[in-house]
Amino acid sequence: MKEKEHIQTAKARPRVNRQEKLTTQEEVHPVFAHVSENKQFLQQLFGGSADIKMREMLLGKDRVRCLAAYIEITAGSLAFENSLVGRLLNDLAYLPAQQIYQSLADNGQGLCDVTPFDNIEDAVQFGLLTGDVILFIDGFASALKIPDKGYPNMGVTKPDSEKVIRGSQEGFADSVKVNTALIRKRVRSTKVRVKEVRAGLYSHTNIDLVYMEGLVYPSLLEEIERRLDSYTIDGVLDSGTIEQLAEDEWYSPFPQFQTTQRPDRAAIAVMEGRVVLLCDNSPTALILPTDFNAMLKTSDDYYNRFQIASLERLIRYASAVMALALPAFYLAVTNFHTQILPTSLLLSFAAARQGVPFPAVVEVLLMELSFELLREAGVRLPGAMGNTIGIVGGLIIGQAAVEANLVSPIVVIVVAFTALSSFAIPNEELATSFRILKFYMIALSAWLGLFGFLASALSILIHLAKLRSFGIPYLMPYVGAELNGYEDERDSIVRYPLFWMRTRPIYARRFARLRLTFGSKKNKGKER
Amino acid sequence: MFSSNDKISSRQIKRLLVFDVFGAASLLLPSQLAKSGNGIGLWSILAGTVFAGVYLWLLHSCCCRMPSDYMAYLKTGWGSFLSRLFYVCYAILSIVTCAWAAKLLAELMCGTLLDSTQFASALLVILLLALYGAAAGMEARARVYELLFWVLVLPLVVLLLLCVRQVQVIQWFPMLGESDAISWSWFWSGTWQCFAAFLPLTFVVFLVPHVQDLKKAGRAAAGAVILNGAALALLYLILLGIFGSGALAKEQYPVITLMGMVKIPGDFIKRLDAVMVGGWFFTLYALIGTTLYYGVVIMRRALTNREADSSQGISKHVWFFALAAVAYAAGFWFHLSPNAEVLAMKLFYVAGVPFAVVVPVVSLFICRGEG
Repeated sequence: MKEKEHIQTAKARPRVNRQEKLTTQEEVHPVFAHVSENKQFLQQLFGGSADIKMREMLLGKDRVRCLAAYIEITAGSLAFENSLVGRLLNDLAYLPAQQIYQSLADNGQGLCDVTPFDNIEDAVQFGLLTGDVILFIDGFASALKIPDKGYPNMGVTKPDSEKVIRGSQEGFADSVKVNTALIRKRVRSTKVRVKEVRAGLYSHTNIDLVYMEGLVYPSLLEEIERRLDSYTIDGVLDSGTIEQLAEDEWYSPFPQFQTTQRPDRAAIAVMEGRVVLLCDNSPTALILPTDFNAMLKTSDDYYNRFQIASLERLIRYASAVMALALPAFYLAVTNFHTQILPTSLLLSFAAARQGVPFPAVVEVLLMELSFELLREAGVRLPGAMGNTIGIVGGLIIGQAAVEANLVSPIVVIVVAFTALSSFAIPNEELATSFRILKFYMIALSAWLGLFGFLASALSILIHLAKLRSFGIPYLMPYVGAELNGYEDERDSIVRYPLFWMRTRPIYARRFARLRLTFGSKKNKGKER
Repeated sequence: MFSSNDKISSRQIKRLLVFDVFGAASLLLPSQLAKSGNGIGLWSILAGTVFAGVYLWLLHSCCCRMPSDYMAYLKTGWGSFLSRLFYVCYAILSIVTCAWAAKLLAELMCGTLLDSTQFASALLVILLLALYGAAAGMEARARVYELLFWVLVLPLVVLLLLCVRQVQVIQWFPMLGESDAISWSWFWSGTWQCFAAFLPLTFVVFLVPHVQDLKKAGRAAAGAVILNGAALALLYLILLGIFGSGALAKEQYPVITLMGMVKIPGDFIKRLDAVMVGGWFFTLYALIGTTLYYGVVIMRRALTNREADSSQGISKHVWFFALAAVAYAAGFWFHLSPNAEVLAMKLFYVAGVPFAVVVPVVSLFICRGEG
């Protein structure tokens, strides 16, 4: 009886209080005239947090009291000339009080990025918590934000994925500002715009929208901003959170935002009239809108000659099909329609399966799940050990499973080939969606043979056909290519020679799509 | 932002119409026409195609005169009650065609890829797929077939080319039959059947809200009629040249049998019928999807006076579920009772096809259009 009551109470109590609002205190306090008051306020605000450091100093001839507040690690030695704070303090060291105030008000030291704040909350939010030092001075009614070392981050490294043979080896870093600069380094145009928004009620994550003025549809920008503004979340720690909250079809396994860790890929997107969304603390940029075709491209497709680029794309498309459908097709044929195989092949399949106690579907599932396990273990284990796991799993366990008659060698080949194919897909999220849907196809093919295979393939195709990314059909340019005069087909499964690809894809504004002309630049200038 | 207006391109219209017509026609017409003996069937296909072209021209004329949609156009001449009644008849025609095509596809699958005990599952899967496709909307369906066009057409062309060397031209003759009354009756009967195979053209009048440029759409639809006519004629000649009229008339699905006979150079794969039946799976699915979609759109417009994609009133998904369930029941009934199917086919030829022709033709004279 008591247990029943307990259950009833639990049921009556909602798991989430829908009335609860996710908000923060919006009250603001002006900067106090006295350093001691500011210090006291900050101590209250942070509840005496150990990592918030406050250093009081006496400055100038008149010994004016000042207070530097910062987060431990983000500031270097305040006295050193080579730090901005140190230089500022040294410059002010011998001035009378009035000159100190004047100098600070006029930014007399000519230091860049010294920003005054009138209220403490802003100084804390946009100064202290962004990794800068804030300086309070007795008798001076503003707090100054002074950049110093800032938060630690990894810096520019090689990207983990999307590796290329030709082209830049730089990858995005963790810092949004570094990433923005990496794009600007590649597109040095005054038309490149960076719009900054913040997301996360507590994380206050900086999000930069990078785009090219004049190429991007203004309505696209508005829509992106609307979606970013349409939810309130406590924290955004990676661009993946934004992606999931802002996509059209949340239930689809297919990514509707393209991800990249490569600045050159992002720069190409910016010049195509797309918007690149950079999130602080994330080396993964989001590119939007996108389509299926874009996710099977790599940046060196445009650096290599068209023949090799086209061949590579054909291989990627074929591997995408294999990654999705090969195990299911194998099952459908061997379980239901052996008549399509030549007798010799059929006999070798039968001989390979001799002694295996499981039906083919169990064999395939066993191997596929083992492979997923290996992949997961390989990713989670430290670098060198991860590689070892691949070798141990792929070679030794596979060989042992065959010798123990748990699976047939044909299934090992099929699963290995499927895995290899999935690695050839340049976009990790797209490859993952194929990995998930592979099991759906296996299930239907195991039940209904080739008919199940066809039905599952058709349902996936219908799903892809109805997907959109910010209004762009997901299957562009294979469908709806008419919208851009069939120009986009020149950069699809086959990449045409560059001199034939004279227009930008459909993402760019209608009358700003020309991207390549021939003739001397001088003459072009005169024509204009 | 980018357009999301539920409009489809002329290329999509053409490809959709090609698949809507070709699937069932290529499966069933050759053996039906072969009963007339030798080459007469070819003339029936050509005549049927010409009549389909004329029919399309009439429908296009209606489309050009429509104020907003077909219902509004019909109301100007037939009044509200009759217009709604016609819409209900169109919807019934659509759903019965959907049920029949689903039953045909399920039987084809059971005959070639599954066993007969799995008919219920096959029919269910087919209609669930059709439901998913139809509920995805006109644009999604059009995109699927725009994408699949060459994927399906190229292998078929290659396989037919591989068969050409087995064709015995002598089997085509006499091309004009015996020129007596019996041959003429076979010719007209074949022409009527061929014309009936083009009946999915009827739905062109409901396509108007999804079309941006009616002229382009008309040209695309005409292209689809010509392409279908040419493909059916070519297929008929190949089948007739290989099987002869006697054997062809006895085959249930001669084109599938033909695919089973194709020998690929190198012999690395055998019995292509099992693979190529996939092509007919997609083409017949196009007809099922189209008829289910229009069944819902038309019925909804007739009974609730609401636009196809409006979310007011009973949700459109409920309509899709309800009519897919009706199609499932009817398809199963056709499977269990061949007499019911024969009766439905008779009704289709003597009532359905004339209805689909007469209403737009008479409307051209009595309805007040814009043009």
